Amino acid sequence: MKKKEFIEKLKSLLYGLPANEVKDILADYEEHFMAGMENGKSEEEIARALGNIEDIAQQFREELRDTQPKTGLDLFLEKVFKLFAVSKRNKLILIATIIGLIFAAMFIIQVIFSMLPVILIAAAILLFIAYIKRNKNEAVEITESKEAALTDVNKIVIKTILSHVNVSYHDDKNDKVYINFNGSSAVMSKPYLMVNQAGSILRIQIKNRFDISSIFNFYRQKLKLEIKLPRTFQDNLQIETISGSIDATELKSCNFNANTISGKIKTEKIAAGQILLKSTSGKCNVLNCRGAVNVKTISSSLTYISNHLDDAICFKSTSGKAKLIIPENSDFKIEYKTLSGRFKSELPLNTNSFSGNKSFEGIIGSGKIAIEVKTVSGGCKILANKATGIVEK
Amino acid sequence: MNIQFKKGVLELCVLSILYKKDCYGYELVNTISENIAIAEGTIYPILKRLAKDGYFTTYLKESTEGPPRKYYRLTETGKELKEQLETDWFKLIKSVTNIIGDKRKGSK
Repeated sequence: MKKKEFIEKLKSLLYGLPANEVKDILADYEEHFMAGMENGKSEEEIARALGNIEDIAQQFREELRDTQPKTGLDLFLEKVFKLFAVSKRNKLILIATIIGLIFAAMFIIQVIFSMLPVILIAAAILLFIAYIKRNKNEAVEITESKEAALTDVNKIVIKTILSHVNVSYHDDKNDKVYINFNGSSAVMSKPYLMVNQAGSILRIQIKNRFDISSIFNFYRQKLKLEIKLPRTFQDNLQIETISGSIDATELKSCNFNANTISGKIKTEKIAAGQILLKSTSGKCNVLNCRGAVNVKTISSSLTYISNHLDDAICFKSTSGKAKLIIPENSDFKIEYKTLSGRFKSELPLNTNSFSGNKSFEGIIGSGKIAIEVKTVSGGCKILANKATGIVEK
Repeated sequence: MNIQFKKGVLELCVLSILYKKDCYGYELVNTISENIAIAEGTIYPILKRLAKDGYFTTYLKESTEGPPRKYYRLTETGKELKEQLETDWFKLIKSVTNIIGDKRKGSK
């Protein structure tokens, strides 16, 4: 075997190891060949003395095993490349498969192109409808008020798409809920308020009339759903929006649940058995609330401000950051798990595995309260709440 | 020879050679293969791991002919490991000799 063959084969067998390592390894063997040839040996002699290439590759894999986790894709590619290195028959099968895939792709592209006129005509029709109806695209003022008595209700569900939701208590001495829906909207998609009770669940929903041309309606709606609950209602509360913000103030609830895609969530002075917030990209603010807080997000951050840390906090996110502003005399144990997030604390944390930006556990005082922060890239900051009752807007 | 045993012995050989002087790969491999029958290619993986674990560092040095060569130099921890492996080795030889009986002594 010649030097070139040896290096090529080794390279194909090392597939899946980090590229820089492979480069380094191949360079070592190149050098070995060069040095051997300077000593008057032939390429074949040197290759023979080096031994079985499969054994060598296998040994490198064993030695470097701890340094790189293999993914399923890596293993698959490794197998594919092994085919190239090992057998001519398998190579043929592989090439035939690739050619087949190319033909299939060409066929699909062909189909899409033949559909093109249909797609263009459909788009033109939609635009034409929007053009005819454009005059109706004007704004209209909405003011709708409803009230409902809360008899045998233990759960209130509030659902909207883009209205901002505001929930708080009223001071009237009755058990009625006052609902106020106002703002401006385009005529065609004029939303309306719907309140109905099914069993022990009261649903408050904003519905939109669907119109095909509302796709082309660029009027920005400004809608607000204000809900005033009687102080006697302290049961389950669930609020869902797509892009509307959620703002809940001074409530008592055994189970407070807020769910949004891109709206902001703000909960202030809420006493609940559990506060569960879910958001994709809307920011979450939890201000001076009581009760275990559980926040799940994709990219949104959590700001938690409290002047007495009494309850557990759990924050799970992909890229959202957690900012906890809590009193200096707090007693808690924090578990921070992250891939690349950074951690910063103003409070003196006792930990034996703190390394700046990796997963660790820290404790302050007796470690009575559990705080759990899990992110992929989101950081975590703990700041001292010096002023009592500060509120961040 | 048992593969783990062989690896351990090769480690000691590599460390001992580098303890005397810095070497480049071919030189090192050649010194070993002159004395022990072994597939030369399997020494590089051992070099790779020992370098990774910080037992020696590498540097490039010009050669009289051809491109610069990669030299290996033992670090302090490498020297410590060498001392330790060496002690282990002599202990092992002594114990094994005791068990199988020293032929030279026996012939006396």
